[in-house]
Amino acid sequence: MSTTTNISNEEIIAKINSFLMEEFEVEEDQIEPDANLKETLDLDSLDFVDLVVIIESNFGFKVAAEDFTGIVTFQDFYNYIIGRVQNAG
Amino acid sequence: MSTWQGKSRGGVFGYKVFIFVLNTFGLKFTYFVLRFVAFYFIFAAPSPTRFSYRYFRHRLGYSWLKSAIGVYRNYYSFAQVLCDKMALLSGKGNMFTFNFDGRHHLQKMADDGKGGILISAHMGNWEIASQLLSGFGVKVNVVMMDAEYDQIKDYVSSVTGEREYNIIPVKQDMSHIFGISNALINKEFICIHGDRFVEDAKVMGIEFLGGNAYFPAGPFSISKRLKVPATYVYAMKEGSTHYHFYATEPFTFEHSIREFVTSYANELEKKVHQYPYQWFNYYDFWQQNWPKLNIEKER
Repeated sequence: MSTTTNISNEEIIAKINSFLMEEFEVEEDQIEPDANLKETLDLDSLDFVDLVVIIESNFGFKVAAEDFTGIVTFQDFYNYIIGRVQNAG
Repeated sequence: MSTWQGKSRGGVFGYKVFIFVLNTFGLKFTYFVLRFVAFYFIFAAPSPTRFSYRYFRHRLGYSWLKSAIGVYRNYYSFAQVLCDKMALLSGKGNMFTFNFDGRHHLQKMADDGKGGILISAHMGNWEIASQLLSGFGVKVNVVMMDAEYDQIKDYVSSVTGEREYNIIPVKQDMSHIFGISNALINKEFICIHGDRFVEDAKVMGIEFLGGNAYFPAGPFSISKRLKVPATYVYAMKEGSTHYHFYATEPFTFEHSIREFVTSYANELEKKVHQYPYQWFNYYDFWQQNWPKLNIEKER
């Protein structure tokens, strides 16, 4: 993995953490890569609506229903967004 | 558990009889028949009858006699509203008259191009409201529970015309999330009820008609978090073929979710006092012992 990609990935993760802290009112120390996304953010089904819209407005791609099936931890979530951003690039 | 399960009583046969009478004999005669149907339901639906009686007796403080009559009037109003819905969907909309408080508010929402969340309740006639909303030049999406039997839906669709709005059914497969988020991204109108919740939904206990009742936090948190303007809307029946539509001034809520839900509950209380017989939540709305209650964490 190149340095440029690493920096880029870190920026993406920082951006994700920033909007999660702001919109879902979690503390930075609660966000651990292995932590459960749904439980940590205390998401119900309508909260996922917000998450989908926020992803679209921050990263410019549409999330499909099946995309969420494999996302359990924050790390899964980072990997998904990084993958989509890189594919778009 | 005494919750509303999102299903109609009577089955396809009941709907067939209903639509046959409506199409053959007209609206006024159907209303006449519904007087007997409403009376029948007092005995045929003991649980809703009990909760309806308690609502009039304990929440509105009516005498026992007025409460008993209230149960009947409430069933009759509900039957009329269903009848009006079928008439409207069958292309008989021109027999209804309307007046509209707050049309300019919705027009402004449409013109601003930010979309909007129209929060209503299980009161009055939501179908009529949704139909009226189609004239603002913005696509209208109605979020609905989807426990209705497929046979009933298929039958109703086969005898009525196309709706002028899009329905987003709330399903276990979570597909509604994408329907709602796409509508928000496209800056459309989303109509959602603020007085019922599904099993996993986050809720808040709010003082309502003298007791603590649980309201869903979701419709309010979407509006607040995504900064989408919200308004409270109701379409209330005022005569046999006349409806009064209300829309409050749109706002973007800056305060806590609790204050937002409380403002909705206060507005709803006013409407309940104004139209007591058009409250259509036939379960224990003030129930405290829900088997699973996902309380919204207040941060």
